[in-house]
Amino acid sequence: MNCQAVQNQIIALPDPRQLSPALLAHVTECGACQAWARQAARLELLLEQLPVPPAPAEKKETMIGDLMQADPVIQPTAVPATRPSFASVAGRFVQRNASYVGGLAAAVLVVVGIAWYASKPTQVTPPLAEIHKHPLLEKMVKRDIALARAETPAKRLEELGGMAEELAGETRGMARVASPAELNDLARWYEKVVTKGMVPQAKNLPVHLTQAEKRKVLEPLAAKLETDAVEADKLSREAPQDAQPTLKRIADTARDGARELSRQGN
Amino acid sequence: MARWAYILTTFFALAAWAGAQGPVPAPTLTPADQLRLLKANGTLIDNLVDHGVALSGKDRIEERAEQCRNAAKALANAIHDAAGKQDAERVAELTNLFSNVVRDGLLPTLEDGKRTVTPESPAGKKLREVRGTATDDVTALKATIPATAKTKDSLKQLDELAEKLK
Repeated sequence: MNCQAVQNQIIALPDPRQLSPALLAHVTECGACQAWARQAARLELLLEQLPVPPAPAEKKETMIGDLMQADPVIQPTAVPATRPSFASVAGRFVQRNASYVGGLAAAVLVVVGIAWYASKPTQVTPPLAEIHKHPLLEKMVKRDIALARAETPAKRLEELGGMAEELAGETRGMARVASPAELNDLARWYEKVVTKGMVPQAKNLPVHLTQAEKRKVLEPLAAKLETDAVEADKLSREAPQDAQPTLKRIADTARDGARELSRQGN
Repeated sequence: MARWAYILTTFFALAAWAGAQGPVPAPTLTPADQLRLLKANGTLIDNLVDHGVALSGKDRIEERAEQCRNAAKALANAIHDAAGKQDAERVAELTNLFSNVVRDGLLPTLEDGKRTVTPESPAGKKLREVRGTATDDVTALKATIPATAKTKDSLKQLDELAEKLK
């Protein structure tokens, strides 16, 4: 061991006053290294005697906080090299072939969309609450409310006309499935609206209305009744035999009503 | 760069087209369902047609209020029947219609009457009577409908009507 190495080792010791046997053997026989070791020991002694400044008041809390934090206290300084992952390889591939991959994805989406559309059921089963909703009943309720709020005879006539139209439409819709008794009910309601509602209202239009004003109110309603009559006649030729008398009855009622309304308007 | 612009433009155009398709139409009833409902509601529709025709012939506000209450009463009777059969869905549906008649037909008519009719006149007395019977109808309905999860909204609607009829 040469002097340079001995002196370096003495300096590197935690306490230069505590020499290892190997170093002590060299220092005992070498004057230069002996002087070096003495100086290092003296320096250590002097350092011990230096006054230590007091630590900042919050230093302890900060340090405890650092130790208690969620992240590991010892941070990795370097990321070890690993093999490239599948995701990064796939990402690079997609970047290089963006057009082809995009085209392929779009084609898959189109095929999936067509398959879904073709396979979806055409008849949507209504939920239970929907099954209790009866469109005709709702329409009749709305007409009653509107009639309660209709302040003029013309407005009431309009609502009654709507009611008759809805009943005629329902009859046409049910002509092929309903029994004669049910169709009869529908025809009876239609008759009631036209003969007991529309015709008396047409006769009771206010006297202060001119004939032209009356015609303006009554003509569209008469035209609607004519349409009901034509539709019912047309359907009666194609409907089951059971339904034909009912449709004929509706056609007759509508035609009579239209005639009466037209007469009031002229 | 231009390619991406084309792709995005196409995407947004397709999204706008899809968005413009509107809501999904309500499911249509099968003929069998329509027939079943016509049978179930035949008497009720008969009554509503009668009340509608009667309403069209009434000019006086107290008579119109009375006819409107009669229409509501027809629905109330059907609700009683449905509640007796423990048909909660039908109770809910009919209570909804009953509420519509009272809220949109009867109450505004009563309010109009309050503004236009002298309180002490026979018409004013009639209007108060109609309001009273309508309140009784609502109270009776509340007592009939069992409190379940399915009828919760119906009972709430009736509470609101009772409050408005006061």
